Amino acid sequence: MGKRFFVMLLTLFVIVSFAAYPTGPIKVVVPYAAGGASDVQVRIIAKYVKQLFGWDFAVVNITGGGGSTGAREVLKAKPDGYTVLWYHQSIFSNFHVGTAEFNYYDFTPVCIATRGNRVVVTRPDTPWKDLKDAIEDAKKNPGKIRLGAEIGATSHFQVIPMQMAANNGFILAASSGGDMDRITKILGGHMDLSPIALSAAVPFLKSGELKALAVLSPERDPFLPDVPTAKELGLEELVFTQDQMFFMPKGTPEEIVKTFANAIKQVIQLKECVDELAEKAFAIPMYMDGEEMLNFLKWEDERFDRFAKAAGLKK
Amino acid sequence: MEVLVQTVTVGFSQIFQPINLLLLFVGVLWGMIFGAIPGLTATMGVALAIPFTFSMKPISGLVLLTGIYIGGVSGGFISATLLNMPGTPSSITTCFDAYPMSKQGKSGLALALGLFSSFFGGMLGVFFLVSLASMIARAALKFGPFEYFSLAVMAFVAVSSMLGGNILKNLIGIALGLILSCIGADPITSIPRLTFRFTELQSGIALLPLLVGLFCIPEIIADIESEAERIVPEESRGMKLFEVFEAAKILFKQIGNALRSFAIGFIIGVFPGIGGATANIISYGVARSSSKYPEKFGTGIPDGIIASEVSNNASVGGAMVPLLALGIPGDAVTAILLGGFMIHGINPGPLMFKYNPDLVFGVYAAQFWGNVVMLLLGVLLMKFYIYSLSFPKHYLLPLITVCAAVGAFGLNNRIFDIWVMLIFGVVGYVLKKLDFPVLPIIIAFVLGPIAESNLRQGLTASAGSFAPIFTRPLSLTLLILAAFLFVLGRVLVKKGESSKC
Repeated sequence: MGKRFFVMLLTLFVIVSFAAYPTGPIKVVVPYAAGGASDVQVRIIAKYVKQLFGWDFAVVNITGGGGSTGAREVLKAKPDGYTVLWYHQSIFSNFHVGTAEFNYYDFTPVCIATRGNRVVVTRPDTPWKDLKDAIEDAKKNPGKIRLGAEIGATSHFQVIPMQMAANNGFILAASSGGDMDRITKILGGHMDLSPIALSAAVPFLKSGELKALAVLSPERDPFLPDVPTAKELGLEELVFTQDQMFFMPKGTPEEIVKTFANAIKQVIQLKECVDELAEKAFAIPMYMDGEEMLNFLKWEDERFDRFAKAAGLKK
Repeated sequence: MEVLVQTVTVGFSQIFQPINLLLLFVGVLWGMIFGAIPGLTATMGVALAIPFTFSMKPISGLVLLTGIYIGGVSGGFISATLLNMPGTPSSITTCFDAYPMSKQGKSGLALALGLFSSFFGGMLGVFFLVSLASMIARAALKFGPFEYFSLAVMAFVAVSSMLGGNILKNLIGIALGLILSCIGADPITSIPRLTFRFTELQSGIALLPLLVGLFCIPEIIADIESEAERIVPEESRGMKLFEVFEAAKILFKQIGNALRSFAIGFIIGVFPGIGGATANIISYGVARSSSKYPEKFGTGIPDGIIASEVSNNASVGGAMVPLLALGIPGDAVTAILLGGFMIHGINPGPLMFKYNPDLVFGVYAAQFWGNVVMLLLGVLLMKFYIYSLSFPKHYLLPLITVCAAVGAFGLNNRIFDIWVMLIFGVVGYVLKKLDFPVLPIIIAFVLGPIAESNLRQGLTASAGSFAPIFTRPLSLTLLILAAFLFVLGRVLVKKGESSKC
């Protein structure tokens, strides 16, 4: 009797404690600086999570190591659902070039929330109409055109297929410091073309200071409907999106993961949230969880692995 | 000129709404408090205020953040003067002359000089920002990796050749700084270096914990050791209004020094990633090397305070140039400011002038009035600052230590950074006992990575050719300037002056 009562009490306690999740603020680690695309998106989501569920997201920026420093803080956090990582495809690039010793399977994947596209840009005075032209040009005049990337980061993986298509005719020009740094270098003529996050590139595309050569998404981007996808230009491999996803530390109880994922699912369907994501971050909602998300992660991970090997980045 | 007129007409009318005026006061005050406490910086002041701006109108939010930025950079001179601890990285060299002057019983004048120099640098900075922002930003685009490399080399050569004192110790310090800066991910390939398999070291050592460790902790220990019950004696006078006028008079007598320091601060501010701390060190070095009495620097003369405080406030205006015109932050604070802008749906950059012109003018106006408020609050509240720093040291020192730790932690939310601060605190203390200068360590730590990553970026873009360093005219000019400054520095050191800086 006593034993059964105890078990019942324990079960009840467990149910109540899950039902009560979250009882306090949830720390959301953004492994990039405040004001970047990742940061702005999660702060918008946080706002509507508060509105809809009354949950407090404490957004914390932990920068460094191409995102791996912040990720590591979550990796070693308690698996209680109160520390969450907001991350994207860098998890694969960091692992395959050796910046990080962990991969997606060292976390509990929760859900994917948004998708941002990437676009290859150049100065308006370059002779190319689209990415195909640039690649042909590099093939014919090797060692003349500077293709910019942040070495070891996702942008590097994006230029590998371009470089392969051009028979290594591009000069790979390194940058440090992300998309804005490369935009500045292109504007100043220190690089000729580079893949950039749409959110960073759009203001310059609209003002005519940059022109778009290709979008690296599976379909045309709603914000740049006239720009062809790389696939349409015959570059099948060149599909690279920036998908923002939530991870929790490994061993987080399934109930908590589900509760969290469901909340996010509802929030990113809110019209106001969708509009704000589009307006401020040029991101579109893209929800995936469970099995579907795992398959997607696996597929991406294999691609990054393959490119890292092809380019000799693999450590 | 058109921008200037619109700043006055459109921008000023926005600032003069009661709520915005209030926010500007609150912001500058908040910033000055953050700036004055060692370890808490303008960056952190702005970062902590961002959540409060969520619910505000964009212009109100931007006014608050701009105010904090101005107050934060200015406030650093207070603790530099009274405690010999740089309140923010941008007031390292303020300590060198303001503290000795304060020790001679002239705290009021030292503070007034810091305040008025800040005001001067800030105001002139606004004027240049407003009238030339887009032009300067375009020109700065011409700076490629090789130019940045040469710029860093120039800064490095200029400062290190002017370091007096024991050459061997300086060289060891520089080597130490360079080694420390190499810890962490390689700037180009992100491969970990010198981490000894400690994952914590993968993102390297951050500047602020290192700086607080090397400069503030040894000072705190020295204060513990000293016999005095208070660090800042209670009877240390508050700053009087007439002292501000006297400071203004001194500054205008040294207008050459002030303008040169302004130019150095503003130009360095424009270049992303170099920032206020470098501006501060270089302009102090240059002021000393072009002085008729370099040996007096470090003994408590106005020249050093002016050079240091004009330049760091000038760098605020400079750092706003690429932020507003291109959307590229010029330093750590503007990077956070950019975040504040984005949260309000404003994308600084080429389109901002087109789509949100009143916000641009509002920010300009906030910069202008922010400096006025800073001067006013400085005069009014200096008594209070001195009073709060004149508490018995058994209350004050633990508080400062906690603030320093919070500051070290707060920028990147990592406990590890507090350990860095403590370890370098011990290192700094030992170095101080050995009479070993810590400035070379900081200079090498700040400038080494800029030179390295830009050289390597340049080499990838030139397919491995070093030639552009010498064939690109801007780059070559900077190198020639570096050689010139090197010779000048050596001549000066031969003349024999003090060991500071």
